[in-house]
Amino acid sequence: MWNRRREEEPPKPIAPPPPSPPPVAQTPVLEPKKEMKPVSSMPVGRLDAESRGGTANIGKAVRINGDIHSEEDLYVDGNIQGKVEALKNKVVVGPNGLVQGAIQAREVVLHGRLTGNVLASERAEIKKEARLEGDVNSARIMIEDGAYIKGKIEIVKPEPVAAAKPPAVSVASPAAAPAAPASSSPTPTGAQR
Amino acid sequence: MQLPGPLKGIFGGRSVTPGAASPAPSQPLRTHAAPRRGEDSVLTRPSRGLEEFFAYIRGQYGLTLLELGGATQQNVSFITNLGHSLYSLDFLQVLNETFGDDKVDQSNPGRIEYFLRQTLDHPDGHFDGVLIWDVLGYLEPPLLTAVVERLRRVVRPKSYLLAFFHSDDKLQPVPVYTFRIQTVSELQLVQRGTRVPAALFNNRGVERLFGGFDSVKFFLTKERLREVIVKT
Repeated sequence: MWNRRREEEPPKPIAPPPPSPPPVAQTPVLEPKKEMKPVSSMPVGRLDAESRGGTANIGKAVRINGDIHSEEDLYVDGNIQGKVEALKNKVVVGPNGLVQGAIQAREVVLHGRLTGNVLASERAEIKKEARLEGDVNSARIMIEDGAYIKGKIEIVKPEPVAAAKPPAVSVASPAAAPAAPASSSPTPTGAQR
Repeated sequence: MQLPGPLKGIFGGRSVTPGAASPAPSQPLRTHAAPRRGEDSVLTRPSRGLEEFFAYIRGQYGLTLLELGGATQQNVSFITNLGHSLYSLDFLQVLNETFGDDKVDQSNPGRIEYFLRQTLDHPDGHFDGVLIWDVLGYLEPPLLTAVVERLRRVVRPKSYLLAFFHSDDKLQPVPVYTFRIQTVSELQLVQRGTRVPAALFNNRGVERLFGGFDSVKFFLTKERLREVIVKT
């Protein structure tokens, strides 16, 4: 019994492979339907602005003679002969944009050409391919290397909102009131001589 | 034994105290930063001329300075943080656009006047100082004379101009720099190619060039740049 030749040993039954677990029934996940958007040659920034909604777009084939007043963000890739005003919003001049007139907005981003002043209450950004002939008056400015600017650059910080005064308590003597402390920081408001 | 990551220096090696200030330079600082894309080389060095220029305007606010090297973030931030405004102009770019490679055209009075209208069309005494950098060295004599005279008019009296001239002894291609202000006494020079100057200038030549001004002061640098402070 113990000297049986191996080949005479009955082949050991091969254990069947364990049955594969039944596929888990997957509940289809309903993904929000993505809005199909046409392929665009607009810069990525342009699409980001659009995805936030509320951006008016002036395409590169559009020419406007006259002033523009906007109460939403504005993307200009066309030709505007006139002033552009979006006091509470952002104005982007695209790489094909050409504006001949001032731009006044909360934020101004310039990729294209502007002949006119920039008044940006919060921020002005001049990209490397931009060409600006005009003054810039803004609380902040960012200039990329290569940007062409011919004009005066002036930083004007917004004035801080005055805090509510507490009710007056009269304890001071009738003598002269103490003088206000002198400011040690320069007041960056335009060229003052 | 060197351990990787944050344990690297635990058994020795150099330790760096975070936030430690770099030692004050006791000799001229010259660092070669990695050039940005498209730039040839970058170096930072002290500038006596720049130091003098800012010393003269120290304590004043709300000045309007003219810069002829083109707008850079550093220079705009530096000047505006001092409380001044900066009129920026890329003088060499306008020069190229107006004259191209035609040096003979720089003698044409009509073209000279057109160029002045494109670059220095300002009321008399409009600016409180000018950072000329090295642009004057690339102007042919007739244009150079006209530009210097126009600069004298558009800057108010008792103001200062800072100009750089290459001090080579022969006409050969020299580096064209973008000058970025690092501190009141330190400049970063970013080379953007080379260009042959229009003329050679020694101290006597510079004095003759600014003969209509009040005074001229010279500083020579290791990059063979002659720094000149001119008072109107």
